[in-house]
Formats: sequence, structure tokens, C-alpha cells
Amino acid sequence: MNAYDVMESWVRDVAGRLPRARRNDVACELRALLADELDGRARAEGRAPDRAMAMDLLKGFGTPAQAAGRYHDQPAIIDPTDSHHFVIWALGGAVVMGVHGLLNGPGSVDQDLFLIWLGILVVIFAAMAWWRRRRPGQMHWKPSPGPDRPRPALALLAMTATLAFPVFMFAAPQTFVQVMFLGQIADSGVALTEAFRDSWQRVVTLALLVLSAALYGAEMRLGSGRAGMRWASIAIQAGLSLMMLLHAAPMIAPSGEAFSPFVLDAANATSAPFFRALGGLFILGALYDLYRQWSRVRPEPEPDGLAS
Amino acid sequence: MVERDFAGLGELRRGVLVLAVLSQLRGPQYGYSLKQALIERNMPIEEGTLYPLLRRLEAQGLLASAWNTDHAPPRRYYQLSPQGLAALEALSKGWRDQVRVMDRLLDGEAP
Repeated sequence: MNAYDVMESWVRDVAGRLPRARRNDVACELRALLADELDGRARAEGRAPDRAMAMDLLKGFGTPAQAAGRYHDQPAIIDPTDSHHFVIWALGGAVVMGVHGLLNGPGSVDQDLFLIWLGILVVIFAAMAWWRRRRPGQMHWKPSPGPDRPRPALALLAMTATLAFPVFMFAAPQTFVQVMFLGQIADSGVALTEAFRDSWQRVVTLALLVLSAALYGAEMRLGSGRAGMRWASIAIQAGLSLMMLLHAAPMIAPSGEAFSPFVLDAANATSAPFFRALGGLFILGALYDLYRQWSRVRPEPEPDGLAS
Repeated sequence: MVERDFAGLGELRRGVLVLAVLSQLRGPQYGYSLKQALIERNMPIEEGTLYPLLRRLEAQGLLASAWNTDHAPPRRYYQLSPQGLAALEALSKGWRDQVRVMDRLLDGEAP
């Protein structure tokens, strides 16, 4: 191959990476430019152009892929500024699928589901980038008070709901059913086994639920900006996830005897998937709060703000 | 000639590249002749940067181009469009203002 063959090969490889409409035009111009450049070098060096001279010249232009990239004005499918969020969402999906597979067996998650999830994310992020490009210069941002803003009404609601539903239900399930359904349906379906009623699993679960309600109470008064409260919330969620998963399978008494929460087998069979689902939700909640804790801006701002 | 191995200077030069290229295209030039003209005026520019830049400026309507096939090899000639001429004037004014501001900053003059 002589010098011109080398350059023609490079031009061909660049052209192959260009949109069809511009391919011939750019390739012809590059061919002429390279010929000019090569002749200029040969004149400067006082010798005939050769392959080594052509290769050295092409180094200045970069690889065909790099050169073609400079002629592209196509925007990236996913904005570089969105890359971080894309990775977080992709990993988040993988974690949800992983937890689901852990709780329900590896076969419960379709092997292609992650690829489908990635495809959905690409479409969503590409649409977001396209939408932003259509409105350059527009401010697509609104200030928000942030996750630590005091929300006493919400905290009160959460505390009341926690006390009224899981705590009450766990403490006295039959009474709970009578109250909820105004005595219209039989409460024997939720009768607890003696072993479960006296088990440490029930006590610990109840204690965690009460602690959770107490945490909402504290949040009502103090806000949720305290690191100790955030870590306590993560620990409670992790503990509750473990307890829910224990409830889904037969538990073992200190005597070595296996027992289930409910007297009726049908009630145990019906409740097991719910316990597993709750366990999964608590795991995901704890992981999400851990992520939020990890991604917080440090050092945290002064309580009175920067203006004080 | 400006040192080419200082990263800050490289950034500075990239910032004025468009203005430098536009300034040399009041008359028709093809890629290689434009590059030579810039080199002669102590404004060397990498070939891999210059030629795609010409295409981008043309796509923005600042340059007009046409193939000249009267000579061998055929060459694509670029020249300022009316819009490009207006852009050159605006950028030149902006550049001179910026130079005055920078001179004052560098000389430590009071505002």
C-alpha cells in the first residue's frame, strides 16, 4: 500500500461511520484535504510521500471513529448529565429484582426482565433529553423544601396509622377483626397459635412496630433532619423485614418445635406471601433510606440556613 | 509562537478558534489554505479540529461553501455568509471588549 492507498483506506473507514446523506461529501473533502496535507509535508521534508508519512499525518486526525465523531452533530441518546441517575435507576431495578428473586426463588424473576428494564430506562431518559433539547434555555427546576422539612401532619398520620393497624393487629388480631368488621365476620381465622402468642418473634415484631410509631411521634416534634433518627428508621426497617420473613416460614420454638402464626393452615398459607411481600418492601425501604443517607450533602447546612 | 503544552493556553485558544477561523474567511479559502493562513499568523490549529469546525459553522449558517472543480483535485471553498459577517463583527467587538476588561484585571486597575 502506498501513501495514497493508506489515506483512501482511512477515508473509507471514516465515511462508513457517517450518515448516508453526508458520507460522499465529507469523504471527498477529506480525500482532498489529506492529499493537500500530504503534499505539504512532502514538500517540507523534501522527499516523496510514503506510507510512514501518511500514517503520521493520519495520527493528527485520529482514528476513523474519532474523526467521524467530530462530524456528527447527533446528540447523545442519554444526556451525560443524566448518566448518574441512569445508573442509579438501573441498579435500583436490579436490587428490586434481586430481592424478589431472593424471597420467591431465582425462577420467579424472568431472566430477560433486567434487559427489559434497561430498555424502558433508555426510552424514558432519551425522551427526557429530547424534551429538554426542544426547550433550550428554559428553567426546568423548582426549589423544594427537601426531605428533612418538618411534616408534623404527615408524621401524626403515620404514627396513628401504625398504632391503629399493625400494632393493634399484632397485639390482638381477633379484636382487630371484630372492630374492623364491626363483628360481622368470624374472627377465628386470625386466631394465633399458643406457641406464636408467647414467642420472642411476636414480641420483637411488636416492639419494632411500637418503636416505629414512637419514631413518627419524635419526627412530629423534632422533624426528620436528625441523623440518629434516620439511622434508627433504617435499623427498624431492617429488623421488621427480618421478622416478616421469619413469619412467612414455620418458626422454631426453643423446644425445637415448629410453629406458625395462625391456628388455621389456610390462614398461614394465605398470610405467608403477604409476610414475604412486606419483608421485601421493608428491605427495599431500608436500602432506599441507606442510599439517601449515603447521597446526602456533607457537611449538612446550619439549622438556620446560610443567611444567618 | 504560543507554547502548545500548557493546558490553560490550549483552553484559551480553543475559546477563540471560531473567531480566528471566521476572521480568515472574508474571502474564499479551502481547508488546507485556511490552515496555512492561520499557521502563518501564529494560530496553529489541529487538522482534526479545523475541518469539522468548518462544517459546523456552515451548518449554523455562518459559512457558505461550494466545490470548485476547475482545478485538480476538486476543493471545497468556504466563505463568510452575510450571517457569518454579522457574527464576525459581533464577536470581534466582544473580543476587543474582553481584551480591555482582561487588561484591566491583569494590570490590577481599580474598577
